[in-house]
Amino acid sequence: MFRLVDIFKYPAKDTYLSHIDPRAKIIICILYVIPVVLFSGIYELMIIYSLVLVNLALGKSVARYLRSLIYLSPFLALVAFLNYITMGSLIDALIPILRLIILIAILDIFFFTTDPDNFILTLESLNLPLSISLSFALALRFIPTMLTQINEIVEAQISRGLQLDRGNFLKRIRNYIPIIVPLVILSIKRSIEVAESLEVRGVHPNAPRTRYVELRFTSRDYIYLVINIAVVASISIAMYIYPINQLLHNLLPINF
Amino acid sequence: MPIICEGVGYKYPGSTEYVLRDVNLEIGEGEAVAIMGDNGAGKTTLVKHFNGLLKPVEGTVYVDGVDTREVEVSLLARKVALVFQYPEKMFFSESVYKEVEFALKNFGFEERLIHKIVEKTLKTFWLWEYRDRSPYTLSGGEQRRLALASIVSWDPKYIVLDEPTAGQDAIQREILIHLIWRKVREGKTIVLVSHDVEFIAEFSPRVILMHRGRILYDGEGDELFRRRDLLEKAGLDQPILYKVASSLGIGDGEVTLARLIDYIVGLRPCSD
Ligand SMILES: Nc1ncnc2c1ncn2[C@@H]1O[C@H](COP(=O)(O)OP(=O)(O)OP(=O)(O)O)[C@@H](O)[C@H]1O
Ligand SMILES: [Mg+2]
Repeated sequence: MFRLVDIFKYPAKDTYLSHIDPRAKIIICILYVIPVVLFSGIYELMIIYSLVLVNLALGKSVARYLRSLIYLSPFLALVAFLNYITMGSLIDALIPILRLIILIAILDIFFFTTDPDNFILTLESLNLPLSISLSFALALRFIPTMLTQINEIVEAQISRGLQLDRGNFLKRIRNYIPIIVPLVILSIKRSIEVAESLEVRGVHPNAPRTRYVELRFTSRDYIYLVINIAVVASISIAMYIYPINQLLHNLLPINF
Repeated sequence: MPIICEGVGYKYPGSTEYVLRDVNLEIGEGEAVAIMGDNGAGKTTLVKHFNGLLKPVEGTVYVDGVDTREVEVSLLARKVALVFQYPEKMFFSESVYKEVEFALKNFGFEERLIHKIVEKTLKTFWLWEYRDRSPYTLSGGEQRRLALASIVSWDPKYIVLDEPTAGQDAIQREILIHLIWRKVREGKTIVLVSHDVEFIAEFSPRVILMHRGRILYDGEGDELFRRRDLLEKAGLDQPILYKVASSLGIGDGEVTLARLIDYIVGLRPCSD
Protein backbone atom coordinates (compact mmCIF):
# COMPACT_ATOMS: atom_id res chain seq x y z
CA MET A 1 0.00 0.00 0.00
CA PHE A 2 2.68 2.45 0.95
CA ARG A 3 4.70 1.86 -2.18
CA LEU A 4 1.82 3.48 -4.04
CA VAL A 5 3.68 6.70 -3.30
CA ASP A 6 6.12 5.62 -5.98
CA ILE A 7 3.56 5.80 -8.71
CA PHE A 8 2.06 9.11 -7.78
CA LYS A 9 5.21 10.96 -6.99
CA TYR A 10 6.24 13.88 -9.12
CA PRO A 11 6.91 13.25 -12.78
CA ALA A 12 10.22 12.53 -14.39
CA LYS A 13 12.33 15.59 -15.00
CA ASP A 14 14.81 16.32 -17.74
CA THR A 15 13.69 13.73 -20.19
CA TYR A 16 12.93 14.36 -23.81
CA LEU A 17 9.21 14.21 -23.12
CA SER A 18 9.21 16.50 -20.12
CA HIS A 19 10.24 19.33 -22.40
CA ILE A 20 7.49 18.67 -24.91
CA ASP A 21 4.49 20.99 -24.75
CA PRO A 22 1.74 19.26 -22.75
CA ARG A 23 -0.76 20.03 -25.50
CA ALA A 24 1.37 18.13 -27.97
CA LYS A 25 1.35 15.21 -25.59
CA ILE A 26 -2.42 15.31 -25.38
CA ILE A 27 -2.62 15.18 -29.16
CA ILE A 28 -0.27 12.20 -29.11
CA CYS A 29 -2.43 10.45 -26.52
CA ILE A 30 -5.54 10.90 -28.66
CA LEU A 31 -3.59 9.83 -31.70
CA TYR A 32 -2.64 6.52 -30.09
CA VAL A 33 -6.08 5.81 -28.68
CA ILE A 34 -7.57 5.66 -32.18
CA PRO A 35 -5.73 2.56 -33.44
CA VAL A 36 -6.13 0.85 -30.05
CA VAL A 37 -9.88 1.14 -30.44
CA LEU A 38 -9.86 0.41 -34.14
CA PHE A 39 -7.78 -2.74 -34.26
CA SER A 40 -8.55 -5.89 -32.39
CA GLY A 41 -5.89 -8.33 -33.51
CA ILE A 42 -3.32 -9.23 -30.93
CA TYR A 43 -0.38 -8.55 -33.26
CA GLU A 44 -1.78 -5.25 -34.38
CA LEU A 45 -2.24 -4.17 -30.81
CA MET A 46 1.27 -5.34 -29.96
CA ILE A 47 2.71 -3.19 -32.72
CA ILE A 48 0.84 -0.14 -31.42
CA TYR A 49 1.90 -1.05 -27.88
CA SER A 50 5.57 -1.07 -28.81
CA LEU A 51 5.22 2.38 -30.34
CA VAL A 52 3.60 3.62 -27.15
CA LEU A 53 6.42 2.10 -25.11
CA VAL A 54 8.98 3.87 -27.27
CA ASN A 55 7.23 7.11 -26.36
CA LEU A 56 7.25 6.22 -22.67
CA ALA A 57 10.94 5.41 -22.96
CA LEU A 58 11.50 8.94 -24.26
CA GLY A 59 10.10 10.04 -20.90
CA LYS A 60 12.23 7.47 -19.01
CA SER A 61 9.05 6.17 -17.44
CA VAL A 62 8.83 2.56 -18.61
CA ALA A 63 9.97 1.13 -15.28
CA ARG A 64 7.49 3.22 -13.40
CA TYR A 65 4.74 2.20 -15.78
CA LEU A 66 5.56 -1.48 -15.28
CA ARG A 67 5.51 -1.00 -11.52
CA SER A 68 2.09 0.60 -11.71
CA LEU A 69 0.89 -2.44 -13.65
CA ILE A 70 1.91 -4.67 -10.77
CA TYR A 71 -0.50 -2.82 -8.52
CA LEU A 72 -3.23 -3.09 -11.11
CA SER A 73 -2.60 -6.77 -11.79
CA PRO A 74 -5.29 -8.08 -9.40
CA PHE A 75 -7.83 -5.88 -11.11
CA LEU A 76 -6.62 -6.88 -14.56
CA ALA A 77 -6.71 -10.54 -13.59
CA LEU A 78 -10.28 -10.15 -12.42
CA VAL A 79 -11.33 -8.52 -15.68
CA ALA A 80 -9.57 -11.26 -17.65
CA PHE A 81 -11.26 -13.92 -15.60
CA LEU A 82 -14.73 -12.44 -16.09
CA ASN A 83 -14.08 -12.09 -19.81
CA TYR A 84 -12.93 -15.66 -19.97
CA ILE A 85 -16.12 -16.88 -18.32
CA THR A 86 -18.33 -14.92 -20.66
CA MET A 87 -16.40 -15.48 -23.86
CA GLY A 88 -14.90 -18.86 -23.28
CA SER A 89 -11.72 -18.17 -25.21
CA LEU A 90 -8.54 -17.12 -23.51
CA ILE A 91 -7.26 -15.10 -26.41
CA ASP A 92 -10.52 -13.17 -26.64
CA ALA A 93 -10.37 -12.57 -22.92
CA LEU A 94 -6.85 -11.18 -23.22
CA ILE A 95 -7.54 -8.65 -25.96
CA PRO A 96 -9.49 -6.25 -23.69
CA ILE A 97 -6.76 -6.56 -21.08
CA LEU A 98 -4.13 -5.76 -23.64
CA ARG A 99 -6.16 -2.73 -24.71
CA LEU A 100 -6.45 -1.59 -21.13
CA ILE A 101 -2.72 -1.98 -20.53
CA ILE A 102 -1.99 0.02 -23.67
CA LEU A 103 -4.45 2.74 -22.69
CA ILE A 104 -2.75 3.06 -19.30
CA ALA A 105 0.60 3.39 -21.04
CA ILE A 106 -0.85 6.09 -23.28
CA LEU A 107 -2.14 8.07 -20.32
CA ASP A 108 1.23 7.68 -18.63
CA ILE A 109 2.94 9.33 -21.60
CA PHE A 110 1.18 12.44 -20.39
CA PHE A 111 0.99 12.00 -16.63
CA PHE A 112 4.44 10.58 -15.93
CA THR A 113 6.22 13.29 -17.86
CA THR A 114 4.21 16.43 -17.23
CA ASP A 115 4.86 18.73 -14.33
CA PRO A 116 1.64 19.17 -12.30
CA ASP A 117 2.17 22.91 -12.57
CA ASN A 118 1.74 22.55 -16.29
CA PHE A 119 -1.53 20.65 -16.00
CA ILE A 120 -3.34 23.79 -15.21
CA LEU A 121 -1.84 25.64 -18.17
CA THR A 122 -2.82 22.75 -20.38
CA LEU A 123 -6.35 22.63 -19.10
CA GLU A 124 -6.74 26.35 -19.43
CA SER A 125 -5.45 26.31 -22.96
CA LEU A 126 -8.25 23.86 -23.70
CA ASN A 127 -10.56 26.67 -22.60
CA LEU A 128 -11.87 24.98 -19.48
CA PRO A 129 -13.04 27.39 -16.79
CA LEU A 130 -10.52 28.12 -14.06
CA SER A 131 -12.65 26.55 -11.35
CA ILE A 132 -12.51 23.18 -13.11
CA SER A 133 -8.92 23.32 -14.29
CA LEU A 134 -7.67 24.53 -10.92
CA SER A 135 -9.55 21.90 -8.92
CA PHE A 136 -8.26 19.21 -11.19
CA ALA A 137 -4.69 20.41 -11.04
CA LEU A 138 -4.80 20.75 -7.26
CA ALA A 139 -6.31 17.31 -6.83
CA LEU A 140 -3.47 15.78 -8.80
CA ARG A 141 -0.91 17.88 -7.03
CA PHE A 142 -2.05 16.68 -3.62
CA ILE A 143 -2.15 12.95 -4.27
CA PRO A 144 1.51 12.46 -3.26
CA THR A 145 1.06 14.69 -0.21
CA MET A 146 -1.97 12.73 0.82
CA LEU A 147 -0.21 9.38 0.47
CA THR A 148 2.64 10.61 2.66
CA GLN A 149 0.05 11.76 5.13
CA ILE A 150 -1.72 8.40 5.16
CA ASN A 151 1.60 6.80 5.91
CA GLU A 152 2.22 9.18 8.81
CA ILE A 153 -1.21 8.57 10.28
CA VAL A 154 -0.88 4.81 9.97
CA GLU A 155 2.48 4.91 11.72
CA ALA A 156 1.12 7.06 14.54
CA GLN A 157 -1.92 4.85 15.13
CA ILE A 158 0.11 1.65 14.95
CA SER A 159 2.32 3.18 17.62
CA ARG A 160 -0.82 3.50 19.72
CA GLY A 161 -1.47 -0.19 19.31
CA LEU A 162 -3.78 -0.20 16.32
CA GLN A 163 -3.71 -3.48 14.41
CA LEU A 164 -5.28 -3.14 11.01
CA ASP A 165 -5.53 -6.84 10.28
CA ARG A 166 -7.23 -7.83 13.48
CA GLY A 167 -10.75 -9.19 13.85
CA ASN A 168 -13.45 -10.34 11.48
CA PHE A 169 -14.48 -8.59 8.29
CA LEU A 170 -16.60 -5.86 9.91
CA LYS A 171 -14.07 -5.22 12.64
CA ARG A 172 -11.39 -4.83 10.02
CA ILE A 173 -13.34 -2.10 8.30
CA ARG A 174 -13.81 -0.35 11.63
CA ASN A 175 -10.05 -0.57 12.18
CA TYR A 176 -9.67 2.05 9.48
CA ILE A 177 -11.69 4.69 11.32
CA PRO A 178 -8.65 6.01 13.27
CA ILE A 179 -6.94 6.50 9.92
CA ILE A 180 -9.76 7.91 7.86
CA VAL A 181 -10.99 10.47 10.38
CA PRO A 182 -7.67 12.32 10.81
CA LEU A 183 -7.07 12.10 7.07
CA VAL A 184 -10.40 13.75 6.29
CA ILE A 185 -9.87 16.43 8.91
CA LEU A 186 -6.37 17.17 7.66
CA SER A 187 -7.59 17.31 4.07
CA ILE A 188 -10.37 19.73 4.92
CA LYS A 189 -7.95 21.91 6.85
CA ARG A 190 -5.55 21.89 3.98
CA SER A 191 -8.22 22.73 1.44
CA ILE A 192 -9.21 25.73 3.53
CA GLU A 193 -5.58 26.80 3.70
CA VAL A 194 -5.17 26.42 -0.04
CA ALA A 195 -8.37 28.36 -0.68
CA GLU A 196 -7.21 31.15 1.58
CA SER A 197 -3.79 31.37 0.04
CA LEU A 198 -5.35 31.46 -3.44
CA GLU A 199 -7.59 34.27 -2.33
CA VAL A 200 -4.70 36.16 -0.81
CA ARG A 201 -2.94 35.97 -4.13
CA GLY A 202 -5.96 37.36 -5.91
CA VAL A 203 -7.14 34.25 -7.73
CA HIS A 204 -10.72 34.72 -8.79
CA PRO A 205 -12.56 32.32 -11.07
CA ASN A 206 -14.03 34.98 -13.35
CA ALA A 207 -11.35 37.62 -13.28
CA PRO A 208 -9.30 38.03 -16.43
CA ARG A 209 -5.86 36.56 -15.96
CA THR A 210 -2.55 37.05 -17.59
CA ARG A 211 0.04 34.31 -17.50
CA TYR A 212 3.59 34.36 -16.42
CA VAL A 213 4.44 31.17 -18.25
CA GLU A 214 2.96 30.84 -21.70
CA LEU A 215 2.84 27.52 -23.41
CA ARG A 216 4.38 27.81 -26.84
CA PHE A 217 4.92 25.24 -29.52
CA THR A 218 8.55 24.97 -30.50
CA SER A 219 10.15 23.19 -33.40
CA ARG A 220 10.89 20.32 -31.04
CA ASP A 221 7.16 19.89 -30.43
CA TYR A 222 6.39 19.98 -34.12
CA ILE A 223 9.05 17.42 -34.90
CA TYR A 224 7.78 15.15 -32.15
CA LEU A 225 4.20 15.45 -33.41
CA VAL A 226 4.98 15.01 -37.09
CA ILE A 227 7.15 11.95 -36.58
CA ASN A 228 4.60 10.30 -34.33
CA ILE A 229 1.67 11.07 -36.61
CA ALA A 230 3.55 9.87 -39.64
CA VAL A 231 4.59 6.61 -38.01
CA VAL A 232 1.21 5.84 -36.46
CA ALA A 233 -0.73 6.79 -39.56
CA SER A 234 1.40 4.80 -41.97
CA ILE A 235 1.48 1.73 -39.76
CA SER A 236 -2.25 1.92 -39.14
CA ILE A 237 -3.05 2.29 -42.82
CA ALA A 238 -0.72 -0.57 -43.65
CA MET A 239 -2.36 -2.75 -41.04
CA TYR A 240 -5.76 -1.75 -42.33
CA ILE A 241 -4.96 -2.60 -45.94
CA TYR A 242 -2.94 -5.74 -45.41
CA PRO A 243 -4.16 -8.46 -43.08
CA ILE A 244 -1.03 -8.20 -40.98
CA ASN A 245 -2.58 -9.94 -38.04
CA GLN A 246 -3.28 -12.99 -40.20
CA LEU A 247 0.22 -12.91 -41.68
CA LEU A 248 1.97 -12.68 -38.36
CA HIS A 249 -0.32 -15.29 -36.94
CA ASN A 250 0.82 -17.69 -39.62
CA LEU A 251 4.45 -16.81 -39.02
CA LEU A 252 4.36 -16.83 -35.23
CA PRO A 253 1.27 -18.62 -34.13
CA ILE A 254 -0.01 -17.96 -30.60
CA ASN A 255 -2.41 -20.64 -29.56
CA PHE A 256 -4.20 -21.26 -26.32
CA MET B 1 17.52 -3.95 29.67
CA PRO B 2 18.35 -1.30 27.11
CA ILE B 3 17.65 -0.25 23.56
CA ILE B 4 20.71 -1.02 21.48
CA CYS B 5 21.56 -0.03 17.92
CA GLU B 6 24.40 -1.92 16.32
CA GLY B 7 25.78 -0.58 13.06
CA VAL B 8 22.35 0.57 11.97
CA GLY B 9 22.03 1.78 8.40
CA TYR B 10 18.77 2.74 6.76
CA LYS B 11 17.55 3.94 3.39
CA TYR B 12 13.94 4.50 2.48
CA PRO B 13 12.49 2.08 -0.06
CA GLY B 14 12.96 3.35 -3.59
CA SER B 15 15.79 5.65 -2.54
CA THR B 16 19.47 4.90 -2.95
CA GLU B 17 20.81 7.26 -0.32
CA TYR B 18 21.37 6.06 3.21
CA VAL B 19 19.73 8.40 5.73
CA LEU B 20 21.22 6.51 8.68
CA ARG B 21 24.80 5.33 8.56
CA ASP B 22 26.54 3.08 11.01
CA VAL B 23 24.59 4.24 14.04
CA ASN B 24 25.77 2.67 17.29
CA LEU B 25 24.18 3.55 20.58
CA GLU B 26 22.79 2.16 23.76
CA ILE B 27 20.01 3.72 25.79
CA GLY B 28 19.87 2.25 29.25
CA GLU B 29 16.90 1.79 31.51
CA GLY B 30 15.84 4.93 33.36
CA GLU B 31 18.03 7.17 31.25
CA ALA B 32 16.96 10.55 29.89
CA VAL B 33 18.50 11.11 26.49
CA ALA B 34 18.13 13.90 23.98
CA ILE B 35 18.63 13.37 20.27
CA MET B 36 19.52 16.62 18.55
CA GLY B 37 20.54 17.64 15.06
CA ASP B 38 19.62 19.72 12.05
CA ASN B 39 16.60 19.20 9.79
CA GLY B 40 16.96 16.01 7.83
CA ALA B 41 19.69 14.64 10.12
CA GLY B 42 17.74 11.40 10.52
CA LYS B 43 16.40 11.80 14.05
CA THR B 44 12.83 10.81 13.27
CA THR B 45 14.04 7.96 11.10
CA LEU B 46 16.19 6.72 13.97
CA VAL B 47 13.47 6.78 16.62
CA LYS B 48 11.06 4.96 14.31
CA HIS B 49 13.48 2.06 14.63
CA PHE B 50 12.97 1.91 18.37
CA ASN B 51 9.43 0.56 18.16
CA GLY B 52 9.97 -1.38 14.97
CA LEU B 53 8.02 0.89 12.61
CA LEU B 54 11.16 0.83 10.51
CA LYS B 55 13.50 -2.14 10.37
CA PRO B 56 17.19 -1.49 9.79
CA VAL B 57 18.53 -2.18 6.32
CA GLU B 58 21.95 -2.79 7.85
CA GLY B 59 22.83 -3.73 11.40
CA THR B 60 20.42 -4.59 14.19
CA VAL B 61 18.21 -2.87 16.74
CA TYR B 62 17.58 -4.69 20.02
CA VAL B 63 14.85 -3.69 22.43
CA ASP B 64 15.24 -5.48 25.73
CA GLY B 65 17.40 -8.04 24.02
CA VAL B 66 14.93 -8.74 21.21
CA ASP B 67 15.78 -8.07 17.58
CA THR B 68 13.08 -5.68 16.31
CA ARG B 69 12.93 -7.58 13.05
CA GLU B 70 11.60 -10.59 14.87
CA VAL B 71 8.60 -9.10 16.66
CA GLU B 72 5.47 -7.30 15.60
CA VAL B 73 5.23 -3.56 16.00
CA SER B 74 2.15 -3.96 18.21
CA LEU B 75 4.19 -5.86 20.77
CA LEU B 76 7.04 -3.38 20.73
CA ALA B 77 4.68 -0.41 20.82
CA ARG B 78 3.44 -1.55 24.17
CA LYS B 79 6.95 -1.16 25.54
CA VAL B 80 8.26 1.71 23.48
CA ALA B 81 5.79 4.57 23.13
CA LEU B 82 6.44 6.93 20.28
CA VAL B 83 4.92 10.41 20.16
CA PHE B 84 5.32 11.95 16.73
CA GLN B 85 5.88 15.53 15.72
CA TYR B 86 2.53 17.33 15.95
CA PRO B 87 0.73 14.32 17.45
CA GLU B 88 -2.53 16.25 17.70
CA LYS B 89 -2.97 15.67 13.96
CA MET B 90 -3.82 12.07 14.77
CA PHE B 91 -6.86 12.61 16.99
CA PHE B 92 -9.97 10.89 15.76
CA SER B 93 -12.23 10.22 18.76
CA GLU B 94 -15.33 12.19 19.62
CA SER B 95 -14.09 12.89 23.14
CA VAL B 96 -10.90 13.45 25.06
CA TYR B 97 -11.80 10.46 27.21
CA LYS B 98 -12.09 8.13 24.23
CA GLU B 99 -8.86 9.37 22.74
CA VAL B 100 -6.99 8.09 25.79
CA GLU B 101 -9.09 4.94 25.94
CA PHE B 102 -8.12 4.01 22.38
CA ALA B 103 -4.62 2.71 23.07
CA LEU B 104 -5.71 0.93 26.26
CA LYS B 105 -8.35 -0.98 24.33
CA ASN B 106 -5.87 -1.82 21.61
CA PHE B 107 -3.48 -3.24 24.17
CA GLY B 108 -6.24 -5.35 25.69
CA PHE B 109 -6.57 -3.77 29.12
CA GLU B 110 -9.56 -4.87 31.19
CA GLU B 111 -12.67 -2.67 31.00
CA ARG B 112 -12.71 -1.85 34.71
CA LEU B 113 -9.05 -1.01 34.74
CA ILE B 114 -9.41 1.17 31.67
CA HIS B 115 -11.72 3.60 33.39
CA LYS B 116 -9.39 3.96 36.35
CA ILE B 117 -6.35 4.51 34.18
CA VAL B 118 -8.03 7.06 31.94
CA GLU B 119 -9.23 9.02 34.94
CA LYS B 120 -5.83 9.00 36.59
CA THR B 121 -4.00 9.94 33.41
CA LEU B 122 -6.36 12.77 32.52
CA LYS B 123 -6.06 14.15 36.02
CA THR B 124 -2.29 14.02 35.90
CA PHE B 125 -2.35 15.97 32.67
CA TRP B 126 -4.91 18.50 33.91
CA LEU B 127 -7.41 17.38 31.31
CA TRP B 128 -10.04 15.64 33.40
CA GLU B 129 -12.49 18.53 33.15
CA TYR B 130 -12.32 18.37 29.36
CA ARG B 131 -13.05 14.65 29.20
CA ASP B 132 -16.29 15.01 27.20
CA ARG B 133 -15.04 17.67 24.80
CA SER B 134 -13.93 16.89 21.29
CA PRO B 135 -10.12 16.81 21.13
CA TYR B 136 -10.23 19.26 18.25
CA THR B 137 -11.84 21.94 20.41
CA LEU B 138 -8.89 22.04 22.82
CA SER B 139 -6.18 24.68 22.65
CA GLY B 140 -2.85 23.78 21.08
CA GLY B 141 -1.20 23.26 24.46
CA GLU B 142 -4.02 21.13 25.77
CA GLN B 143 -3.95 19.07 22.61
CA ARG B 144 -0.25 18.41 23.02
CA ARG B 145 -0.85 17.33 26.61
CA LEU B 146 -3.64 15.05 25.48
CA ALA B 147 -1.36 13.48 22.88
CA LEU B 148 1.18 12.84 25.59
CA ALA B 149 -1.49 11.53 27.96
CA SER B 150 -2.82 9.09 25.37
CA ILE B 151 0.68 7.65 25.11
CA VAL B 152 1.79 7.40 28.72
CA SER B 153 -1.58 5.97 29.78
CA TRP B 154 -0.55 2.40 29.17
CA ASP B 155 2.60 2.90 31.17
CA PRO B 156 5.25 2.09 28.58
CA LYS B 157 8.77 1.52 29.73
CA TYR B 158 10.35 3.74 27.09
CA ILE B 159 8.84 7.05 26.03
CA VAL B 160 10.13 8.61 22.85
CA LEU B 161 9.01 12.15 22.12
CA ASP B 162 9.65 13.71 18.72
CA GLU B 163 9.82 17.48 19.07
CA PRO B 164 7.48 17.72 22.07
CA THR B 165 7.86 21.49 22.34
CA ALA B 166 7.35 22.41 18.68
CA GLY B 167 4.85 25.23 18.39
CA GLN B 168 4.30 25.57 22.14
CA ASP B 169 4.52 28.73 24.20
CA ALA B 170 6.75 29.17 27.24
CA ILE B 171 4.13 28.14 29.78
CA GLN B 172 3.21 24.98 27.91
CA ARG B 173 6.90 24.22 27.60
CA GLU B 174 7.30 24.48 31.37
CA ILE B 175 4.31 22.20 31.85
CA LEU B 176 5.74 19.68 29.41
CA ILE B 177 9.11 19.78 31.15
CA HIS B 178 7.36 19.17 34.44
CA LEU B 179 5.40 16.21 33.09
CA ILE B 180 8.42 14.70 31.42
CA TRP B 181 10.59 15.09 34.53
CA ARG B 182 7.92 13.30 36.46
CA LYS B 183 8.22 10.32 34.15
CA VAL B 184 11.98 10.35 34.52
CA ARG B 185 11.63 10.26 38.30
CA GLU B 186 9.25 7.34 37.98
CA GLY B 187 12.15 5.49 36.40
CA LYS B 188 10.96 5.64 32.79
CA THR B 189 13.41 5.86 29.96
CA ILE B 190 12.85 9.08 28.07
CA VAL B 191 14.17 9.89 24.62
CA LEU B 192 13.60 13.45 23.48
CA VAL B 193 14.10 14.53 19.90
CA SER B 194 14.53 18.27 19.80
CA HIS B 195 16.07 21.30 18.17
CA ASP B 196 15.29 23.30 21.25
CA VAL B 197 18.71 23.78 22.89
CA GLU B 198 17.29 25.79 25.79
CA PHE B 199 14.81 23.07 26.55
CA ILE B 200 17.44 20.37 26.46
CA ALA B 201 20.06 22.40 28.34
CA GLU B 202 17.58 22.72 31.15
CA PHE B 203 16.78 19.12 31.06
CA SER B 204 18.93 16.36 29.77
CA PRO B 205 22.18 14.99 31.03
CA ARG B 206 22.98 13.03 27.88
CA VAL B 207 22.80 14.27 24.31
CA ILE B 208 23.20 12.37 21.06
CA LEU B 209 24.02 14.74 18.24
CA MET B 210 23.23 13.72 14.68
CA HIS B 211 24.18 15.11 11.32
CA ARG B 212 23.53 13.58 7.90
CA GLY B 213 22.59 10.21 9.32
CA ARG B 214 25.62 9.84 11.55
CA ILE B 215 26.21 10.31 15.23
CA LEU B 216 28.57 13.25 15.73
CA TYR B 217 28.59 13.25 19.47
CA ASP B 218 27.22 11.11 22.27
CA GLY B 219 27.81 12.23 25.81
CA GLU B 220 27.20 14.85 28.45
CA GLY B 221 25.02 17.71 27.26
CA ASP B 222 27.09 20.07 29.37
CA GLU B 223 30.23 19.21 27.45
CA LEU B 224 28.50 19.44 24.07
CA PHE B 225 27.07 22.87 24.76
CA ARG B 226 30.60 24.21 25.20
CA ARG B 227 31.62 22.95 21.79
CA ARG B 228 30.54 25.58 19.31
CA ASP B 229 32.13 23.72 16.37
CA LEU B 230 29.96 20.63 16.85
CA LEU B 231 26.81 22.63 17.49
CA GLU B 232 27.38 24.73 14.42
CA LYS B 233 27.86 21.68 12.26
CA ALA B 234 24.49 20.35 13.39
CA GLY B 235 22.80 23.70 12.86
CA LEU B 236 22.25 24.36 16.56
CA ASP B 237 22.73 27.48 18.56
CA GLN B 238 24.59 27.56 21.87
CA PRO B 239 22.23 27.78 24.84
CA ILE B 240 22.02 31.31 26.15
CA LEU B 241 23.61 30.48 29.50
CA TYR B 242 26.67 29.04 27.80
CA LYS B 243 26.90 32.04 25.50
CA VAL B 244 26.81 34.43 28.41
CA ALA B 245 29.29 32.36 30.42
CA SER B 246 31.80 32.20 27.59
CA SER B 247 31.53 35.91 26.82
CA LEU B 248 32.11 36.61 30.50
CA GLY B 249 35.16 34.41 30.23
CA ILE B 250 33.96 31.87 32.78
CA GLY B 251 32.79 29.28 30.24
CA ASP B 252 35.21 26.66 31.57
CA GLY B 253 33.57 26.18 34.92
CA GLU B 254 30.15 24.92 35.82
CA VAL B 255 27.43 26.71 33.86
CA THR B 256 24.28 27.29 35.86
CA LEU B 257 22.01 30.25 36.18
CA ALA B 258 22.87 30.57 39.89
CA ARG B 259 26.60 30.71 39.24
CA LEU B 260 26.19 33.28 36.48
CA ILE B 261 24.09 35.48 38.72
CA ASP B 262 26.63 35.20 41.53
CA TYR B 263 29.37 36.12 39.14
CA ILE B 264 27.55 39.08 37.64
CA VAL B 265 26.50 40.36 41.05
CA GLY B 266 30.10 40.02 42.18
CA LEU B 267 31.27 42.09 39.20
CA ARG B 268 29.17 45.06 40.12
CA PRO B 269 29.95 46.62 43.47
CA CYS B 270 26.79 47.18 45.47
CA SER B 271 25.93 50.87 45.46
CA ASP B 272 24.10 51.03 48.78
N1 LIG C 1 9.21 8.58 3.88
C1 LIG C 1 10.39 8.99 3.41
N2 LIG C 1 10.80 8.60 2.19
C2 LIG C 1 11.98 9.00 1.69
N3 LIG C 1 12.86 9.77 2.35
C3 LIG C 1 12.52 10.19 3.57
C4 LIG C 1 11.26 9.83 4.17
N4 LIG C 1 11.20 10.39 5.40
C5 LIG C 1 12.35 11.07 5.55
N5 LIG C 1 13.14 10.95 4.47
C6 LIG C 1 14.48 11.55 4.30
O1 LIG C 1 15.32 11.04 5.30
C7 LIG C 1 16.19 12.05 5.81
C8 LIG C 1 16.06 12.11 7.30
O2 LIG C 1 14.76 12.51 7.63
P1 LIG C 1 14.22 12.62 9.13
O3 LIG C 1 12.78 12.92 9.04
O4 LIG C 1 14.63 11.40 9.86
O5 LIG C 1 15.02 13.88 9.65
P2 LIG C 1 14.87 14.64 11.04
O6 LIG C 1 16.22 14.64 11.67
O7 LIG C 1 13.75 14.07 11.83
O8 LIG C 1 14.53 16.11 10.54
P3 LIG C 1 13.57 17.20 11.22
O9 LIG C 1 14.36 17.89 12.25
O10 LIG C 1 13.25 18.11 10.06
O11 LIG C 1 12.36 16.49 11.74
C9 LIG C 1 15.79 13.32 5.10
O12 LIG C 1 16.74 13.57 4.11
C10 LIG C 1 14.45 13.04 4.51
O13 LIG C 1 14.29 13.71 3.30
MG1 LIG D 1 11.89 14.76 12.49
